Amino acid sequence: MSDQEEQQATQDPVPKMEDANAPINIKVVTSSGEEVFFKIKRNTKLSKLQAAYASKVGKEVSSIRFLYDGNRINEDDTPASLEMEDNDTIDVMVEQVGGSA
Amino acid sequence: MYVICSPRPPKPFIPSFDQLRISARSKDNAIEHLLRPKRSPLPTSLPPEDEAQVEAFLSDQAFRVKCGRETVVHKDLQRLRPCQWLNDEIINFYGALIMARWEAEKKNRVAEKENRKKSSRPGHQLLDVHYFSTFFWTKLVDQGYEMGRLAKWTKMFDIFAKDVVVMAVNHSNSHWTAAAINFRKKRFESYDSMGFSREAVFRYLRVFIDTEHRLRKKQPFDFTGWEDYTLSSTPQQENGYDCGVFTCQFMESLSRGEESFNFTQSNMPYLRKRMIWEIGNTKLRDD
Repeated sequence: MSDQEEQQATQDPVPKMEDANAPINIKVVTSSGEEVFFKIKRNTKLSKLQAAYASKVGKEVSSIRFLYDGNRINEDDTPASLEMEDNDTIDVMVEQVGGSA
Repeated sequence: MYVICSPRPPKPFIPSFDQLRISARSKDNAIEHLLRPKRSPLPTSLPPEDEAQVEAFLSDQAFRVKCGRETVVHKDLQRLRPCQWLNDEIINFYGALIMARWEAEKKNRVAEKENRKKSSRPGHQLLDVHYFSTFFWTKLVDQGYEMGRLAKWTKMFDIFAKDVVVMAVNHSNSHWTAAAINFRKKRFESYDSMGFSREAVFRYLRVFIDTEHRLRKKQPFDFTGWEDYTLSSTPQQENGYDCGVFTCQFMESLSRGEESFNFTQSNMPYLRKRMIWEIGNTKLRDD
């Protein structure tokens, strides 16, 4: 839970219920530093964001990987389930292969 | 004049050169066996029922397994067929299996301590291991510790309390090698089935561990006694496609504290099948 939410909870418990699904800003960053910004509700599945990102950059979802704090983001994850905060960052990586030098 | 009537004394034993050589060799072998107990060689195939299971996994179009946050689907699994290059999904799933095995062992040890029981389960030699996904290296090299926000990767645990940290390193999207930070032996390690010395691996890992130490422990990392290490007898691939399998097997052996590897190129067809079985059943074999 963010500090902001905690503050609101102590002040007035009613807006907290409304805030639970308030949209947050999320930055998707490639390892070469390119950034794309999204606004997404806290209870919306991140798979939606992944699909939106993939179509924006013209790639198949199956060829890119989304990481939050080094952990792979799964189908059912939401910003709320991952305890993401406003202006948090998701790393996007591309499929890696190898066989020999 | 004396007549000797007692039986003739036996001829003194004068060994022939060959006999000497044989006895010396058997003594050498005995010493070698004591110093380095031989692991039994790997088989060439799985038990028949497991072989059948492997075939079933491979032909299942809807194949999908999860371990932790890693997933392998049908398309990825096909990469474990002979001659295919491995991708990040297979390698990261294998890393997750290595971590899961250690997590289970950790629980076992706690339970044993409570029961005050000494055990000789096969798990007793497992190390406290952390596996960094294949993207760790990419971010470390492309962006560095701060830009890549690598501090977030280690915020949930104390890396300096681990026995060993293992990772797979992707080189130019065409080659996999294994690397390790070995806290027990004070070594930065690199294992390459193509036999290159990977100076960059040592360089980047040293920078990473120093930066991490400054952040968590508020002082520079003490490199006293630490060395860059690579095993001169690292098993080598004899083709252009098996490096991912070698890399996974290096990491698996390292997580058991092995100092050398019991596989070679000739074991790769078996190890590919074994990995399919392990991924399909989401557990590492202990045979």
